[in-house]
Amino acid sequence: MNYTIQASQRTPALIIYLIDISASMNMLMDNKRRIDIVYEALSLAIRQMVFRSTKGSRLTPRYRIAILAYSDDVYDLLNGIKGIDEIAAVGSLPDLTPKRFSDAAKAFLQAERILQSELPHIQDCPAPLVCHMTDGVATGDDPEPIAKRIMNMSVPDGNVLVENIFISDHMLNAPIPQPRRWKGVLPETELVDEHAVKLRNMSSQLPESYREMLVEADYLLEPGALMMLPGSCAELVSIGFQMSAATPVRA
Amino acid sequence: MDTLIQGENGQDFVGVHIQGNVCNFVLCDGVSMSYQGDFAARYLGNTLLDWLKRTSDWSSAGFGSYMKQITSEATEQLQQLTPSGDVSPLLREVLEDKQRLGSQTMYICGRIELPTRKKQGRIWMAWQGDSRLRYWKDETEISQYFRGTMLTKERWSTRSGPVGGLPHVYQSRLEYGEPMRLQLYTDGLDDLDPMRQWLPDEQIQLLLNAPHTGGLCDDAAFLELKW
Repeated sequence: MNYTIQASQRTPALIIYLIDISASMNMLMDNKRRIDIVYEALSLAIRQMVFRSTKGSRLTPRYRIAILAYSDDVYDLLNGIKGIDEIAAVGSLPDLTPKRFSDAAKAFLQAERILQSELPHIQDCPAPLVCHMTDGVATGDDPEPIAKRIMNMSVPDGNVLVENIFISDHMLNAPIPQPRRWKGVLPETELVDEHAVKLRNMSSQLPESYREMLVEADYLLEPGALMMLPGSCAELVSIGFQMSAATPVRA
Repeated sequence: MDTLIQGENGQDFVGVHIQGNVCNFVLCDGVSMSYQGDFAARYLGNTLLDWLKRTSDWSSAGFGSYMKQITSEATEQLQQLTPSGDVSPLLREVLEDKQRLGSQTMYICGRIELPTRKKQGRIWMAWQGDSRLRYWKDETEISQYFRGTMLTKERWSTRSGPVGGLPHVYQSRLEYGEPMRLQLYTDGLDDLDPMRQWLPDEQIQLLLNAPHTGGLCDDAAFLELKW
């Protein structure tokens, strides 16, 4: 239970992305639509996974990915779980088009179903990770109880990890001037937004093995930091997606 | 008599050169996340075997400086190894990024000059990375000298030479009549780590075949020298 199993061809890591595509994702941040920043950050994370899966000129499928976009409904953008090699072969991710509402509970429910079906077959693999990105209050049912159930699911490597990227300028008391020097959201960090507090309750503690990978990439998150990022700028959104792909791999 | 045995298995490289009472050896573990880690392993392995044969400067500073000096030719050769045309555009971009960052390998190299009745012998070794270096004197393991120096973050890069720190260098006299054993292996064979006793070749082969796990998770190279 220490999140040290390395993602490999034989023991690939499973990552499920839950992407909020509600209408507010059309709003601007850093002069770009939020949805475009998310698309770029997700594409960068996929690229990072390709980087970490390449041996010689060969791409070894060390990661398996599902991408669920949600609004009033849930849209399975990859039609199931796809290997990183299959995604790289296609070359780009499906478009993310904002729709209306933001029913996060439906997305977490679908993630839970995927995990229920996958867990028996991935007992030797790294603990799966659910990376949730949203920019506002969920409409529909409360996603927290489902997220908690997911966080209680486990494989020998550890409990399923849940990460939240909250695109908001109003989550913390003060802005983060230098994202690379930022210590992360800790359990005692004061959050000024009620929805942020809920998302924190739905966020796992950052495993030490993940933290070490991020330190290698020059991000100084503190031990005990939670898997929660305030997406107040493009770089923080990008750190959030990089965190999701920080499963240990063999050098 | 000249004996040259070189083997390649995936991204690992082993080379041994024995001439008279002198044995030069190299073991390299190409870093799979770097560009063509097998290139760095092969290039450095061959280059070090050549250096071990002809150098007269065994100082740590001299070795460190040599490891830096050989990067320009290595980089030139690596630039010729462009990604093949049949990969997807995304993979090609990633490979080109990696090519710019260089090819990397971990390594252990060394030279044994056997002692005679009239003259003491000598062992000299240098390494960077997490390949295992284990040493026995009279069946007692004396590898404690090397503990804490086998670090995954350390390696050699075609782009910048030593990475993560300076090379570790060890040198010691060898006495005539003292049975010694030296064991080197890459991390793919880490099943060997808890084993203290000598294992015959058949058992090493069994570990390499790893039938209990359906094969090893990584490339593996093994070299054992006894005198």
